[in-house]
Amino acid sequence: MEEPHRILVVDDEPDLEQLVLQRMRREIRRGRYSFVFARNGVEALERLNENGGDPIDMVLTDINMPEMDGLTLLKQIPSVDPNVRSVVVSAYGDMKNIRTAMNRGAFDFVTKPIDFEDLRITIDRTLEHLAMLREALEARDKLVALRSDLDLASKMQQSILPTKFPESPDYEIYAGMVPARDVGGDFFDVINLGDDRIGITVADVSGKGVPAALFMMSSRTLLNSVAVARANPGEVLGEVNRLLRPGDVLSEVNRLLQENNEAAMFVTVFFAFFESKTGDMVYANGGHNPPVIIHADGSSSLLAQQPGVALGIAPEFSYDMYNATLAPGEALILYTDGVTEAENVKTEQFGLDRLLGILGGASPSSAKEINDKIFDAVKEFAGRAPQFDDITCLTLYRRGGSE
Amino acid sequence: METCRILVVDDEPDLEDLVNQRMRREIRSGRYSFVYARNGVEALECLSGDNGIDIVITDINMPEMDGLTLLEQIPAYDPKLRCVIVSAYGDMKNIRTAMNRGAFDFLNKPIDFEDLRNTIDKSMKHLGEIREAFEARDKMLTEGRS
Repeated sequence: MEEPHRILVVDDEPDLEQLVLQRMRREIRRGRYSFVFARNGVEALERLNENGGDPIDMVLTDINMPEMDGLTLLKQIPSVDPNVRSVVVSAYGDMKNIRTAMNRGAFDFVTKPIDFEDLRITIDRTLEHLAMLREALEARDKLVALRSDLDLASKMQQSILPTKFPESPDYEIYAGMVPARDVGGDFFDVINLGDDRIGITVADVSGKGVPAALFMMSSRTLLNSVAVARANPGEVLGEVNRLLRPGDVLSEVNRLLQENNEAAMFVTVFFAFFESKTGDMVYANGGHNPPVIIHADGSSSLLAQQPGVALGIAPEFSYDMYNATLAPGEALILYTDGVTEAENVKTEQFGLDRLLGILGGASPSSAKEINDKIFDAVKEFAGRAPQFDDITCLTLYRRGGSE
Repeated sequence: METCRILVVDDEPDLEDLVNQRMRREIRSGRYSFVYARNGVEALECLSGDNGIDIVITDINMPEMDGLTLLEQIPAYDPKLRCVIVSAYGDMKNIRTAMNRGAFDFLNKPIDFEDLRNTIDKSMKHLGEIREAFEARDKMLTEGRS
């Protein structure tokens, strides 16, 4: 059962105590109310200040009392506990004092001689109001806690995305992700596999918010560990050590993701192994947007491939593998649909053509420059329109062109 | 500061001019704006339109629907609305009935405009707290779900 509501009765008439205890005996016995008494405003503040005891929910106070009267007490209460509600007891028809009390924040009033039916209704109404306010305040506190959790989750999520990229005389990589909400479902990764080889990936989890973020964390971890294991199969695979098979990486991650995927979430992934000395790439696509290549002469095209099925949908899907070579001076752009489907206030989309023409026909010269240009262009295009989806972009530039 | 929108319900047509005159400074500065209705029925019609009313100040004796009946109807339109009842001076019986039916406060006739200002501001402060808390709860429900 609920705790009784604690009511502090403040009056210099000792008779009132007996009267209240007598007339409210049923409510007291049922555990609905419990009463605490004080003889004036000073004593009342002491009761309110007492720590350790159960907190007081409401104050019922007389007006005329020695030491500190009821109207002065009313002014003091909010600084002791802003959530206590007060009801004043006035002489019948004493409009002046009643109005003063109400303007000083009394929640209600009753008149002498006390009509106990009126008092019951007044107490219940006051407590009801208090309960509603408390429930809402608790909700507000929870919201604050939730926000701080999300803020922390966002920081953790951003912290698992690489911010430092491998430095090499052969190539340059740069990437970024701007989540639409506190936490996002997009991710990218750059995996250093040694021997002048890296794995690169950009992915987009279905849905948004916390579930997408959790699925993103597990997808990213699986992809990373499977890629590392497959790229370094050690003695087990012996001869095929150098045979990198991104299709197999996606197939395995796909199978793993499907275990315990009760929320039926999925993730689109583009995954590639890149040999930095030769520019050779082997790649596979799990339902992701086709990457863009900007050639050394400033023209652009889509990377040849067939998008497979997103991971998490078809457990036995076998992902095809493709080969291509990034020529010196060329840039490969991996992105999520947050780029191409970014909307402006007229609900037009940024579109693939704007991405293909991002350099306006100029030759690529830096991964960071291209990546920044894309984020800037999307931001400028969207203007004041709200961002609905995470925006992710990774650019790989092979040095050695006309620079 | 946001304008506080107040619905005044009274069958006395004089009240409208009086309020507009005595509150002209608050109206001009955009602190308060007043809407008027002549009885409870008109008041409910006004509340069912999207008028963004924050506070209802109502007389008790009116034709068609009186103030005490109106008080009971209002929560169905917006439970967060604050209602202030205007009674004859010292009419304890009606004042107590109104307070027990959920009036947030009361005023005496003839209206003391300083008291009215205090009462409106106190009501707005309460309303602000309640709205803020409810908004927080609603936001939490949507954020928690997504």
